[in-house]
Amino acid sequence: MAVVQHRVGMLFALFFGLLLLAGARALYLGGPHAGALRRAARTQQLTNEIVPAERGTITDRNGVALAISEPAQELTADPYLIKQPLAAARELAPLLGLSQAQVLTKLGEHTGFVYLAHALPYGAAHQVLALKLPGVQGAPVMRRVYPRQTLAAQVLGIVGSEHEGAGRMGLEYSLNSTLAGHAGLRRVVSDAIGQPVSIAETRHERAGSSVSLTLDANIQQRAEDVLSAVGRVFQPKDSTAIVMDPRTGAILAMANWPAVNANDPGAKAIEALQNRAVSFNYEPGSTFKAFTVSGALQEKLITPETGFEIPDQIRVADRTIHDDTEHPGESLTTSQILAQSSNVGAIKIGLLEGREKFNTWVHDFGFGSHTGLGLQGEESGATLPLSRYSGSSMGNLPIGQGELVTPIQMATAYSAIANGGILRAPHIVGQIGGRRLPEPAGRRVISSTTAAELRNMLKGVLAPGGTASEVSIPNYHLAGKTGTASKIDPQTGEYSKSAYVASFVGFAPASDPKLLCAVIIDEPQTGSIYGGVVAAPAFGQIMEFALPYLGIAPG
Amino acid sequence: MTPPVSAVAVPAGRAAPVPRRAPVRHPRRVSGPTRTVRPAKPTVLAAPGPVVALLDRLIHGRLWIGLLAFSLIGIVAMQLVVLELNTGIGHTLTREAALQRENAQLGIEDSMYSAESRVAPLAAAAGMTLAPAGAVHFVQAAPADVSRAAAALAAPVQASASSQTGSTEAAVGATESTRAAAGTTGSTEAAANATESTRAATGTTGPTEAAATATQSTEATAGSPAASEAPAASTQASSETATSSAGASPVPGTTGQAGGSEVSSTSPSAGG
Repeated sequence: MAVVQHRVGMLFALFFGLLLLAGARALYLGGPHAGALRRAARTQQLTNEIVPAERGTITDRNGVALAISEPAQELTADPYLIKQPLAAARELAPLLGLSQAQVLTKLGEHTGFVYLAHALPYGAAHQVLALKLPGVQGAPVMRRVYPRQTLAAQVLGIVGSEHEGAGRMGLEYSLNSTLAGHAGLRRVVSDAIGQPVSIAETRHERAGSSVSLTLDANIQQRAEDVLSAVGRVFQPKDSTAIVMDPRTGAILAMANWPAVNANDPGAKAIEALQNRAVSFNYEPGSTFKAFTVSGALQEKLITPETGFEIPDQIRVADRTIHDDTEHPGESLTTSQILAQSSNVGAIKIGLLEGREKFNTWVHDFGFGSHTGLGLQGEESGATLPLSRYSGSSMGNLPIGQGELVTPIQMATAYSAIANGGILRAPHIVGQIGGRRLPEPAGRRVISSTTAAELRNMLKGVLAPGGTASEVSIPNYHLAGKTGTASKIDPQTGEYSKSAYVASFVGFAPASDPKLLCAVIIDEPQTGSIYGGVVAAPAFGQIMEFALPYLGIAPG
Repeated sequence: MTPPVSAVAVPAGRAAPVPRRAPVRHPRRVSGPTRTVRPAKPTVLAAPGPVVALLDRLIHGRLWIGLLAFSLIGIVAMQLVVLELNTGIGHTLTREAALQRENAQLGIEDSMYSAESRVAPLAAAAGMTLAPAGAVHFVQAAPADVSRAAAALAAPVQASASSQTGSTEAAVGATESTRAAAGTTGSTEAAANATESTRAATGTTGPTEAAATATQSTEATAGSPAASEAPAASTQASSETATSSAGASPVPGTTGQAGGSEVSSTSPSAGG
């Protein structure tokens, strides 16, 4: 009995001793050594992963993806940990799409952190990480891809390259709060072989909303192709074209030239990224005469058949304004003044109207203020305040000189003529997150009768004797107005003799317009400078494709 | 060890020792108020209930060992299940990321493949041309056109069903090329639709329709409920307008059928 009790006591003492040892060890690990162990655990087992939010997709009206996000990796390196930079550069260069010298430069920096790639496609990044180079790490990010490359690049804009890349230009910027989601945070504890043993969502990720535009990829492509052809023939400084539905204000195409690859925006100068359809301020020239006439028509001062004696030139205060070509005195109706784009005739109508009423009409058609399109970089143009009208102002304002407009302002204002007199804000976003946005209501600026009279008069521009008589589409009646405006020479402050803006704004079918197109060519260098020669044919080519494509019946 | 009292031997002739009595000690007086002596409360022990009895039996029996072992194994097993679950979550997340990548890649490819710059040359290579604006004719819609087109559609669908025994590959090829062309440009699409509509309206299944009929048959096969969907497709095709004039036929060999025939548009808005 005593022996048993003795052994039990010994066993108890043994286990008690072991327990004391374990306790002491636990105290040591949890006390003095706790910091080092915690640090080691953090680096080896615990990772806080950023879950990048998928940026919303931008599609055209038919669901064609124009901008889409795909998972990618942001690759960084610690040059201090890379023992053989030359060998590493040799392996990394082809995968990163850089030269060996470029990679070697990065790896040779005296710093503990360099970016190897901001958003490398996942496949290439996976290959890089598979090399298991010490100090090379990857972090998940989203990469913005524009599958159609140059298509609507200036409209779509670009995003930044850093984490949760925010929109920098275009729609990517304007709709950034809609497109960008919220990145999440995930706490992952891994075991010794890297298998996650505990995953906790610290912060849930939320994807951005998709945006469906009113643009039509096929019409957009055609408009860009046509502008590209114009660029080859006339070598302008740049050009832009807008195609819109005048009934709703929906933009179907907004093209710019020169083209830019949205996937590689750095390849072109920053100016090429500008959406000239909204940011280009220019003197409209003769395309503005339609609004001079519309005001006078609406005020019942004239009718389409009202006759005017048109001399070769007219003097207003201290300024003498000539018609484009010398001609003997002639009698022209209002319709003929528009069709032949007579400067003298338009000024006479403007003088008949008076400066106050003319100024009111200019603002009623939306000139001098933003259209409400909501695109980044939109300019408002510039109109002369009534208080600053000089004696000769009515000698140049009615013919589109002395005021600045934007292409989208012109397209919007012409839409009011085309749709029966309602000025409606243009829009390019059709749906957000699958929800259709309400169409702008608009406001009446001229009566439907005045609008119909104007449409009928503008048909004459493309009829024999008009300034764009060579443009036609079989079975479709077109209407529109040419414009050829001198640009101000910044050196002299005078109108240039060599720099012009050629433009054409028109619509079809003339009796019941369902499609409108504006083409503005800035400084054509070769061939011709006239809107009827440079811009009107481009209008014809775009409309020739778009009208049957949209199923618009001739008329 | 102290022997028991009974075991102590008492020598004979000796009187048993008288136990010493402890001197009586009087308690010391303590200054202060007189204390009241409270009677002690009787200690009440709770009667063992059924639970206590059960626990008592458990921890005194062999069942307790089994229960303890089962609990320990259960805890370990649960831990393992949690670990496995987390690993599964990890795999699911990896799979999710892979699918997300794949989805994005497919979206990109879809957009690239439907680009006009790619499809237009393919369509041109297949002998298709873009119908000029003046070559597309529109007709007014009439209420009777829908039923007429639906009735006319019956024959080609049946014919196409029988033609499935023919070259399926050719049918697929024809479908793809026709679709490619239709996706390229509206005019071509309209022309392609016109071809289908023309067949629907006329109900002819001549030899020149091989490719076009194959197109329809493949669509009917893919769409499964051919009988119910075919009239709808026909309606859409006809509502998208257009007859193609001679020379603007989208599919080689169908020029004779398409040329000169008119198709009723069932959509009032499409009508001029």
